[in-house]
Amino acid sequence: MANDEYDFLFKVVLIGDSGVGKSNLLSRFTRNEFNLDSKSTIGVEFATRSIQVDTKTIKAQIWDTAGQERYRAITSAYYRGAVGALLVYDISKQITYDNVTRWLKELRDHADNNIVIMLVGNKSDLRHLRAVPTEDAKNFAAENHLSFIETSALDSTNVELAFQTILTEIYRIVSSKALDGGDQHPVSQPGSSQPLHITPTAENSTKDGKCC
Amino acid sequence: MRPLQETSESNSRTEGPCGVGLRSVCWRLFLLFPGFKPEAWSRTIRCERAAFEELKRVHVSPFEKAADLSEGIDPLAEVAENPWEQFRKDESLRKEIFQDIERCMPENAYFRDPAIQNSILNILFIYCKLNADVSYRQGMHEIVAIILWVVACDAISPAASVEEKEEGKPAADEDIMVECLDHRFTEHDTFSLFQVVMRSAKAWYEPGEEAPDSVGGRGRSENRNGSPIVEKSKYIHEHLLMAVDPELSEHLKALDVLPQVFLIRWIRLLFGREFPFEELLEVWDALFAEDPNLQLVDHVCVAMLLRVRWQLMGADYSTALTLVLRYPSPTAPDLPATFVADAIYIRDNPTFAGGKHIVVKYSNRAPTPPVRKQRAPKLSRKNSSLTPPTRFLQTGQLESIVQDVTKNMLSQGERWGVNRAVRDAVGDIKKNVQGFQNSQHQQWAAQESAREAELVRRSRELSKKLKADDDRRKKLEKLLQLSIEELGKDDLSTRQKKASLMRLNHVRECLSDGTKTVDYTPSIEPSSEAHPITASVLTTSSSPTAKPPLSRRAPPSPTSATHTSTSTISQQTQNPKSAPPSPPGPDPPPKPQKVPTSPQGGFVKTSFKNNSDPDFLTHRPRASLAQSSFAWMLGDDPAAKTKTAFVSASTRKSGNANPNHGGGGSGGGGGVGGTDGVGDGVRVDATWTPDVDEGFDLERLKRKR
Repeated sequence: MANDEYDFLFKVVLIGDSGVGKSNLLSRFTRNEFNLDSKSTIGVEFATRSIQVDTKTIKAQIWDTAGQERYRAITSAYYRGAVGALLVYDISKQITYDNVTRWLKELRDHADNNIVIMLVGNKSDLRHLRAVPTEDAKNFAAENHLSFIETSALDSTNVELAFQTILTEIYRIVSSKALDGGDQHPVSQPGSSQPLHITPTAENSTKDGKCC
Repeated sequence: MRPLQETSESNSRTEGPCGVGLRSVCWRLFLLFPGFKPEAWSRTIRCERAAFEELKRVHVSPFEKAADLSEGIDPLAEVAENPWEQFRKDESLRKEIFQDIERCMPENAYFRDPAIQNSILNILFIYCKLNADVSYRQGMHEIVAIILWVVACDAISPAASVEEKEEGKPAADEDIMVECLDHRFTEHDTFSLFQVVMRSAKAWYEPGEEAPDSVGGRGRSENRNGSPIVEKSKYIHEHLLMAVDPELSEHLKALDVLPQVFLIRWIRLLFGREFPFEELLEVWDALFAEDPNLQLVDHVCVAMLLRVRWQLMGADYSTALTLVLRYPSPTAPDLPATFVADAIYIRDNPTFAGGKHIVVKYSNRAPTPPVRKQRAPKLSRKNSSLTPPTRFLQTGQLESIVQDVTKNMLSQGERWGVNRAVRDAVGDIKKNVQGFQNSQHQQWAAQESAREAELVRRSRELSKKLKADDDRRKKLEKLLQLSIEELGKDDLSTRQKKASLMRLNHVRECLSDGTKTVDYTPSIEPSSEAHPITASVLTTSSSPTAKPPLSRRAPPSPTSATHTSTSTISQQTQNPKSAPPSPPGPDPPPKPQKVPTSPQGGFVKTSFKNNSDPDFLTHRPRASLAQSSFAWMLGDDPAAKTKTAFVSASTRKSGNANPNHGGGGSGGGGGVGGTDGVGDGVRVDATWTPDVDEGFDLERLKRKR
């Protein structure tokens, strides 16, 4: 415990097929670690990390679970209270991309309607083995109103950015909602939800990162 | 056998029979040869091995000759119309399994050997073929791996033993040993042991009611409670832990740390990821020795929670969850095997005193006794309630127990968990009473004696009730018997007579079984308006096989059912030709109704929903989540906010709790001018008006952007 004072606590879940690298995305983001021989996740893993958005400290509580599709026993506990989801597939395995629609359905069925979803094509370092074209995924994400990014937990590409982006998006939504909801805060005008700054890495987000 | 078990359970790291190179023999003993008849060993293992060989031939060999499909398909043809399709399915199952095997125990080079990986794959695949209902679930692979490791460690080649034959031991015994440890059968024996472990563990891997792999089934049941592992987790948290450490149980509940979140891994892997490998093996030694059905696992979980009790008590949500998901490995001298010893103690002493003993043992700090003054009024309030207990607060614990005992004594054939729960609950009452009698705490003396008296009174009341109920039932049965005889004598028309007899017989059947819910509806058979006896349609809620001859007209209120049937039937008995009985009068119930209210007898099945308890508001109901997990955040019930992890802690921690001061900071940097104000606005604060609006509106917000 110890660490913290924070302004917001957001629960973000990692979902996607078994073996797409969810656990390594988690460890890369929260501990800056990557493990080539990581074990299969059984049940749930959990880690936190705080980031700054504007002047606010956002504590991200990131949940990682087993990817096996039939691992149903803790579904409701897993999605409970989640405000963001990183839907991960492996760019070198077509089947994990094909299953994205099933995971979206799972989210529709079990998660909050307003959950912020980001499609994440992981293992972008495996260029020579790419099976899922970036454009396909990008288009799919646009059609389904998802953010999209390709990452590599192995070489760290975009991992930070992916989490930053989704957390910022959640923060922005929550903030503007708070303003719209109105009320006793004399401070600023409602509806002034201009884009917030994402940290330095966000600068290059236009190039390959987000599409929507 | 017994001494062997005891030494295995005892802590001696290297001296126990499991520690000096005989672990696999011990495991075989505990799991495969429970009778401890060495003469039967040979036969047993030969049977097991032959069976596995056959299974392998049927299920695995097609894949070993994968290239030649026409040959490989043959054995599969009997299970599927289209062998090709079955073959492809199996192939993808093997792929799925293998994906985990590749990642199994990465720190142990032994498991990188392709031959070993193939053995694990074969074992799991055959298990799946034999248990298609559960098939493969992640986690099983580690159970197999550990067993395989242990069996392989002790394996010998028969040739080596020939040289040692002269050492003077009776050849027969040695031959058995050699046969047991034959390295050629490592895979076979691993499979046999795995199967025995899975006899108990299989249920923990079941996904619940949901159809396991139908796409359509995915979303069906958000709230289903069918998953055995979730039930088990609840049982551990709300009963076992509650009994030994109510404060800790309450604390975890208040933090909203759902037990299944961490117990799913603890239990499914038999603690495989919680302890270092060598120490884990000792835990398994003791577990298998104590009970091949692995019932002790539940108590080991409790013991583990008690060990970190004080850390948990001081923890917030994240810390608590981190602690249980990355359980701190105990160091010498209290190595993990001590959890099993603690578990046995807790199992035998499922009381606060028992829990306290364990907590004090490792921390020298005693938890505060659970007794509270305010429980007294609650006891009487809930006393007559027939609804199943919805929570297990310490203040509600006793009445829950009493209620559950009542309920469960009347329901039969429940699942193991329930039966055991009843046993535990009865034990709790007894032991609580004893515990309080022995208590030396003077400052609690008054309260305790009151509580004790209450307990005794309740126990007595309960047994009185049960006895009275029994008497009533017997009386009714006799009465009915009599009436049947009478009816037989009377010169009623044969048809009437028959009908009456049938009905009354049915009444008797129902009444003779106290577990059946007796419903009574005065009913009119269309064809016989002038029928002297039109009442006494009795249906049983728990027995669909009972066939009441008359149809039920309306579901009677269960409360009136028992009594009305009683009174009406006795009328009939005295005067079988009397007019149809008028609707039952407001006969005051002679004794509280004891109809089982929960069709599943769900002692372990508690729910946060539909709770009418006013105190319930302080606990966040799960149902509200379904509405929107954001709603509260934006100004919903402040009580709920503090219960969930999704809450900003800044107000609590920084002490800047007043939202009206929130806008103080300047809107620094590139952000929007009002950002600070925004942020503060979203903080948790009690002064906000509830905003039940549907969370935040993503679409709208996107447009704005």
